[in-house]
Amino acid sequence: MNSPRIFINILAFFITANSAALAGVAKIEQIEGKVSCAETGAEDWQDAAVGMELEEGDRLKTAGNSSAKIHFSSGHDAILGEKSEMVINSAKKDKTSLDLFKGKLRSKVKQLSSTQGYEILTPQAVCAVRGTDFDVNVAGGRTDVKVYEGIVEAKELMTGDSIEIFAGQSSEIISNRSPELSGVDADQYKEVDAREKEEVLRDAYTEMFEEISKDAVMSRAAEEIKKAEYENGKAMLDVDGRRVRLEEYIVRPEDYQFKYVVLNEREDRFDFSKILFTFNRELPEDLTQVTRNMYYSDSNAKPIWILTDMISVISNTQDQINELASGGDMIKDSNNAWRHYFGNYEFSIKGYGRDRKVLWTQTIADIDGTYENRDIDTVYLGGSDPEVSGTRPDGDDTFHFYEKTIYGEGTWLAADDYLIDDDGDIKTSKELERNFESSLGGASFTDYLAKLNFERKYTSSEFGDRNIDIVFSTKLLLDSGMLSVAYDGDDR
Amino acid sequence: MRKVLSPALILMICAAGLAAAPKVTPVANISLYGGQYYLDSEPSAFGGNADIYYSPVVNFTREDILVPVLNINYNGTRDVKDLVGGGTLTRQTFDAGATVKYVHSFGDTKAKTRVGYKKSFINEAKDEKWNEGLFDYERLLGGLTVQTPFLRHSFSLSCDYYIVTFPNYASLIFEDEYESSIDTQTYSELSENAGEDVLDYSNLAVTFEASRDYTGSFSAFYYYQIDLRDYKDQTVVDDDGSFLKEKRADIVNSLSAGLNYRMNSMALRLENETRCSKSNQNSYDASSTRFNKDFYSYYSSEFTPSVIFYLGSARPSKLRFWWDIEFKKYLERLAQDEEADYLDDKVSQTDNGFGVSYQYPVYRNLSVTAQLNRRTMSSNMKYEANYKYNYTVSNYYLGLNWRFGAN
Repeated sequence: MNSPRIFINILAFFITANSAALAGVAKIEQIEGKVSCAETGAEDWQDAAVGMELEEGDRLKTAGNSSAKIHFSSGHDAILGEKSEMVINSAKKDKTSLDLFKGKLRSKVKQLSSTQGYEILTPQAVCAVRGTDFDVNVAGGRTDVKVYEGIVEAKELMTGDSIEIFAGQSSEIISNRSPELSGVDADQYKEVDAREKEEVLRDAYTEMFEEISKDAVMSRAAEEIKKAEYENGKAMLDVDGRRVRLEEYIVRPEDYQFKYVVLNEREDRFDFSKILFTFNRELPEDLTQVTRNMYYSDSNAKPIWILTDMISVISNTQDQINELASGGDMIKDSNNAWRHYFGNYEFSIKGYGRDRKVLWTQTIADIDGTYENRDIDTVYLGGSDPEVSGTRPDGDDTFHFYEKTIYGEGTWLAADDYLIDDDGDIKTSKELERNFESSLGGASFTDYLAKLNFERKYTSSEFGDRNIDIVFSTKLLLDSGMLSVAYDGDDR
Repeated sequence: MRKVLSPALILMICAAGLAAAPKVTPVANISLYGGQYYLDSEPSAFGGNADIYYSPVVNFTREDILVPVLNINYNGTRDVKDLVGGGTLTRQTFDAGATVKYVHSFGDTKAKTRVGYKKSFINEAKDEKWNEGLFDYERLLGGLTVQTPFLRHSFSLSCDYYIVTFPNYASLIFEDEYESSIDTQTYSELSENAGEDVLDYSNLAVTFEASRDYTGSFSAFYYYQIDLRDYKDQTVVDDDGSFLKEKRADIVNSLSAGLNYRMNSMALRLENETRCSKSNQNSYDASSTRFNKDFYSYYSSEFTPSVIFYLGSARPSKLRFWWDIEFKKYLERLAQDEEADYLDDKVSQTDNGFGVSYQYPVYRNLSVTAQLNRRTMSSNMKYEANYKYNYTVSNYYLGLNWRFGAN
C-alpha cells in the first residue's frame, strides 16, 4: 500500500507549491455590471474580470447597478457596492486595511486573533473590526456603519472619539462630531439574509451534484465489468426467462488430451457437461490447429491429430447421460474429404441411486472403401429397435421439438430441444424460414444459427421427476457436428 | 487507506459539529419519469423511473460544512446507455446510498473528505428477486479532495479509494454441488489457482481537475484520472486455459478537456474524453479452444457536444440537444465473424447517440421534462450469440423535476 503515501506527498507538494506561488493578495470572485480597476500608480482604469488577482495598492471602482465581490487570501470577503471606489492599502495575513473613498463596502471578516486586524478608512472615520459582518457607506460627507454580526470600533478622525458598534446597531459618522449609535432597519437584514442564503444554496447544490457526478463515474466501472461477463457468455437467460450462468473451461489432463467442461447454474439447479477428447499424439499449444480438422477436413493430406477416444458426461449432479467412444479414425468420403468416425460407441444413462443402463452400442464393423460405405452395427437395450415418437408441443411454428425414445425393459429417454435467443425467447419456424430465405440457403443461415443458443432438457424413466437441463452455444454444436443444417440433401 | 474510513475521522466531524451552532440548509433534486424503451424497434412495457437526491447541508461556520447526501434511484425502464445483450427487456434497478462529505476552507483552498456506501440491486431475470440479482453490488468509498485557485484557474486534486463487492456472484467452480458431483480429478484440474469472488475489486482513483473562467461567458475545463483497479480474487488466465497465481490488475487513464460558452439565450458545451485501459488479464474461449491474450485492454475517445436554448425571459424553459459519439478499440481482442471464427482485425466499436430534451417550468422550481434519445452501436464484431454489438435503441421519457431549496 504505497499509493496513499504517494498521494499524501503529492498533496503536500500541491498545497506548499500553491501557497508559495500565490501572486495576488486578493481575487475578484464575482462581478455584476461594470467594474474597473487600476494598478498601483497607474492612471488608466481597465475592465475588471472574474478571477482577476489584486495587489496591495490596486484600486477598484464600480458603476451604477454594479458590484464586485473580493476574496482576500487572508480569508476575508468584501463586496463593493454600486458607485463606489476603494483601494487596498495592505492585505497581509495579520492586517487588512482598505480605503473607501466613496460608496458602500460590505465586509465579511474571518474570525480574528488578537494579533490580527481588519480596518476600513473613510474620509471621516476609521472602522476597526472585532467582529465579522458589517457595511460601510461613504456618501454626502458622512460615513454610515452598519454591523450585522460581531463588533466594529469606529473612530471619528477629527475629534478622535470612538464608539463600539454591536450587531444590529449602526452609526452615522460626521466630521468633527462624536459618533452616536442607532439601529439597523429590518429590510437591510432581509437583504443580507437572502444573499447569504443564495450563496449557501449554491454551495450546497454544487457539493451534492459533485457527489452525483462521482457516483456516475464509479458506476460506469461496475457496468463495464458486468458487460464483460455478458460478452464472455457467462450470463444469459433460458427459455423461461430465468437466469442461467455458464462457465466453460478447457483443461489438459495429459499431453495428448483435452477436456471441455461446461458448468450451468440456475437459481435452484446445477447441470454440467464434460467431454474428454483423446488424440493419437501430443497436442500443440494452440488447440485450434486440432479442433478445426477434428471432424472434417477437405485437405488432401490426412489430418495430423486424430481423435481416437471420447468420454462425455452430461449431468444434473444426480442423474447422468454418458457417451463412451473409442477406435476413432478419419477416412475419405466420396467427395475426397476426410471424415471422422468412432469404431465403437456406447450410449448409457444412470438415474440417481440406480444402475447404469446402456441404451445402445454402435460398432463400425467394416470400413472398406469410403466413409459412405461404412458398415454400422447398432444394438439397442432389449435387443429390438426402439420406438421413437416426436411432437412440437408449442405448435408447428415454434422451434421446440420433443422426442421420446422407448427402449426395451420399459426404459425411455426423452429430449425437449429449444432454439433460443439471448433473452430466452424460443425462435419460430417462420423466423428460421425468413432467415433461410433471405440468405438463399447460403452460409448466412448458419451464421444466424450460430447467434442462437441450444437448450436441451432430458427426462427419463430413470430420472424420476428430475431432468437434465443444459444450454450450449449452437456454434459449439455446429462445429462438433452434433447439430447440422440440411440443404436439399446436403449436410452442412 | 483505512485512516480515511476510520471512526476517528467520523468522530472528528461530529465533534466539529457539536462545537459550533450549525445552520442546516436542506436541498433536494427529485425526478419522476415514465417512459418506454425500444430495441431495434421492438418496444418494452411502459416503465417508471424515480431519482431522489437529498442533502441537509450543515454549515457549522463559513469555513466548515458537512454535506450528507442520500440517494434513492429506481429504474423501471432502460436507458439508451444501458447494456444490451442478455435480459434486455426485463430489468429493474434500485440504488440506495449515503455519502457524508466534510468541507473545510483554508482561505481560498478547500479540503474535502468523504465516506460513502452504496448498494445497487439489479433484477435482470424473471427468477431474480430483489437482493438476489446476480450483479447486485455494494460499494464502500473513502476520499479526499483539495480545491484551490491558482493563476486564474481553479484546481482540484482528488484521491478516492473504493471497494466493490458482488455478493451474489462467485465462480461456479466453487459451488458445493459441482465439487461433490464432478469427478475428483476434473474438479482438481478446474479449481487449481481459480478465484472465487472473481468480480470483486478495489479501485484507487487519483483525479486532477482544472477549470478557468476567461470571461463571464466562456470557460474551459480539463480532467485527468488514473484508476488502479485490483481484482482480489480473479486469477490471470494462462495460454492453455488454466489459471496462474497472479491476480488481475487494470490501469485506466482518462483525459478529458472541454469548453463552456454561455450567451444570454444559449449555452454550448463541448467535451472530449480519451481513455486507455490496460489489463493483464487474458481470456480462453473454450468453445473455440482459443487463447486470447490481453483481452480487456482498449483505448477509446468520446466526443460529447451539447447545446441548451433558454426560451422566454422570466422563467425560461430549456431546450437541449446532445450528441455523444464514442469510438473504442481493443488492443488485442480479435473480432469474430457471424460463425464465431476469429478474424485478423481487432474489435472496434462505435457508439453514436443523440437526443433532445425540453424542460418547462410549471411552478417555482417544479418543471415538466420530455426527452427523446436514440443510440446506435456498430462493431466489426459480428458474433452475437453472447452479446449484441450491433443494434439501435431509443427511448422516451416524460416526467417532473423538482429542485427543493432552490431560489
